[in-house]
Amino acid sequence: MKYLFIFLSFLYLNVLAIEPNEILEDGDLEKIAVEISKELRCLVCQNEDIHNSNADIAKDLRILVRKKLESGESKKEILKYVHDRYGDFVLFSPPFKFQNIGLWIIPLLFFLLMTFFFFRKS
Amino acid sequence: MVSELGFVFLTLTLVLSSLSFAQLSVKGLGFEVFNFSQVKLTNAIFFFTLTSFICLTYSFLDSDFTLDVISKNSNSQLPLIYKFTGVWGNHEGSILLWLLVMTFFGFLFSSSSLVSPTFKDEVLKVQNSLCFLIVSFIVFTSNPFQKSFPPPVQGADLNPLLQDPGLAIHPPFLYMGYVGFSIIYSISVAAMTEQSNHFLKILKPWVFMSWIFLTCGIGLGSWWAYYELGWGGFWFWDPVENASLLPWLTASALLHTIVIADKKKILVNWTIALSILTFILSLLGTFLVRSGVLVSVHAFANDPTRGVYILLLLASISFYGIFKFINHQKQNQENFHIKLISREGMISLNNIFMLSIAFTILIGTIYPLFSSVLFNTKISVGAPFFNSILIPVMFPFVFGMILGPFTKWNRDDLLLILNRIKILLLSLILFSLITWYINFRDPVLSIIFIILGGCIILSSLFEFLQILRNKNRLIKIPKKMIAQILAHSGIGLLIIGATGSSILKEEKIQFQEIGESISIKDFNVEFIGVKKVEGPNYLSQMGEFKIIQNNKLLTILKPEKRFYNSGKQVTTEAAIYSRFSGDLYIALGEVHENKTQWTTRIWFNPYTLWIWIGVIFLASGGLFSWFNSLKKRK
Repeated sequence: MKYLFIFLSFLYLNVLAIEPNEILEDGDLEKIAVEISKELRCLVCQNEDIHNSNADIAKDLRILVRKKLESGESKKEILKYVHDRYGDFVLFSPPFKFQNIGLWIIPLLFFLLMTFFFFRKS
Repeated sequence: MVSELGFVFLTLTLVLSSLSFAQLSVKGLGFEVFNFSQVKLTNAIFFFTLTSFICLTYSFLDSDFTLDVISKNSNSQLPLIYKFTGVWGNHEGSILLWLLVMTFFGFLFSSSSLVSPTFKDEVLKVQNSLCFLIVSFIVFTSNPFQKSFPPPVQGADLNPLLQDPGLAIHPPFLYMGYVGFSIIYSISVAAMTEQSNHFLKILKPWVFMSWIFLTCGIGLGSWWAYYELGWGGFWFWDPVENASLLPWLTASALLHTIVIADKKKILVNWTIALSILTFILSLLGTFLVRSGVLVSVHAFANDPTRGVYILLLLASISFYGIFKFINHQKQNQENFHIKLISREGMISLNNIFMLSIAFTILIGTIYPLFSSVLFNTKISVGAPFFNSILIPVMFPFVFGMILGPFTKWNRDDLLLILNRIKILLLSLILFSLITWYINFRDPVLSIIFIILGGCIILSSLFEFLQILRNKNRLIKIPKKMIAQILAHSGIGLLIIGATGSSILKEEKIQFQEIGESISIKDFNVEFIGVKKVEGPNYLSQMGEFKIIQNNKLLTILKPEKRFYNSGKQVTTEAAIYSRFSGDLYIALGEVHENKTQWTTRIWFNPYTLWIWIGVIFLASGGLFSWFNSLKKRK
């Protein structure tokens, strides 16, 4: 069942993700950069965040994130900036809005239903 | 010649299994036309499938490139072991393996002497019908014996990533798990037609067996991903991984419920429902992966006819199961009253959580699909979403896991339980404080999770000590409890391992000069150089790194980059130095113009070894239950 995954990852194996020269010297800032990178999807890849992807667009985004961090922007601002430009698809945790409400509501309803089923008074 | 024979046997399987299918369909209409021994039929189906599979294997070993599958997925230079494992390293062959396992389980079931003949007949009828659906899928859409024309002189290669021992054994394990659930489905469906009081005892060993295989399969898969993909991670919330986790979660719920159902004769219908659901989820995973619905850049099987066929297959199996269940439910209403603070209540809590987690993962995996169809927006649901849902759920879950085993059947009282385990509670609090004190610099989340994992292990230990004290002789310890203690500790180990290797991971990525030392954690990693090594069908650049701790040479790690002759493809082979405290993990990157500088990626992944130990604990807990249930079948 894992084959799909294998084949996909295979496409991107020649070079491995983030390059040493992209890394910021400031360790704390770099940590935040990695955090942000793991929230962002590489748009042309399958289920890869930009930190682990070696596609060009991922690299551009990594560099952009770091530049913005260095110029003093916060994690929130950077995520918002990328989200505004690339849309919902770029965020790995979908934004909380009407179309996506099902992601939280359906499991919650399911949970309540299950609880009712097991512990109802007959 | 051999391959033609293989196809003939496959066709015979199709014909034979169609008899069972016809019988089942005709019976649904209310009359019976023909009668024959399902046992003999099952045996014949198994041996024909086996012969067909052997023929395909022989063709692979013989590098018979007149077969399309072999010309695309094998190569005469390939080492013998990978020619063999290449049989299931492609869509067609892996579905044939799936069928083989399915018919094998039918065969095993048919040879059991403990099942009454009428019930056995009913189960095999369903099982053979399932085989019919799969074999027709193979023959009409994914025939491994398809000829290639004109036959090439040399085959393309087996994907280099698949040329690895860890991967070679992982699909068979996974399939034994997935397909094991087919027997569980058949038994449950048959139990609704042919009222059998002891079907739970027949069902039990199959549940444990399939669960063990699925556990090992998922474990092996992540282990492979960990050392082969060179990302230092082991779980990526990939749709394919999620697909394997879904039936695992429902099966885990099932193996808890079946205990209540068997002991108290309540929740029997729920057990049946879970059995059917588990098999449906196994199939759903296959459908999502193989149809290309979820992930369109899929080199494997992006064939719409296959997708449609699997969808039909999935729909008919699901509807049949659900239809039967609804009918059964109407006639066999169950009245039960479960108190939260009781063993039944705790197991119910387990079920509620396991299923809610499974359902959340299912929704998360398929929601992007809904969203693109309904709202025409593309969204991504990935690791951050799943983590954000799972993390809060873990608390009540772990709490239940700790309390559950100390709770009495029927009814209990929370204060009494707490009183009974006050020594444990005290030691848990002490343990938590000490852990917090030692690790206070680490991220809060990691400390909390390590405490949670540790608490599960401690309470399992406590339980074990309690049994020892009560019984005073080792021989009489109930196997059921050992199984539970092992499996629960396994979960504890897993939580600690996963926390360490995700939150506490340290990463160093740099251009490293030959001779240069990089320090990570308390290790010094000295780069000695890179040499060329020739493998059987690849050339490798093998880096050599001295691992030094306190001026003492611990080991030399040799990560590789392999260039495969056939496809001009490159794979990374990470080198790992494993210890209980963590793994030192090195992957070799690119060489730079001056030839003395390489990109190296060095990780320290704390407690990763505990993940694999946890999986072994889980599986051995399963083994205990399996043997126990086999003994108690009568």
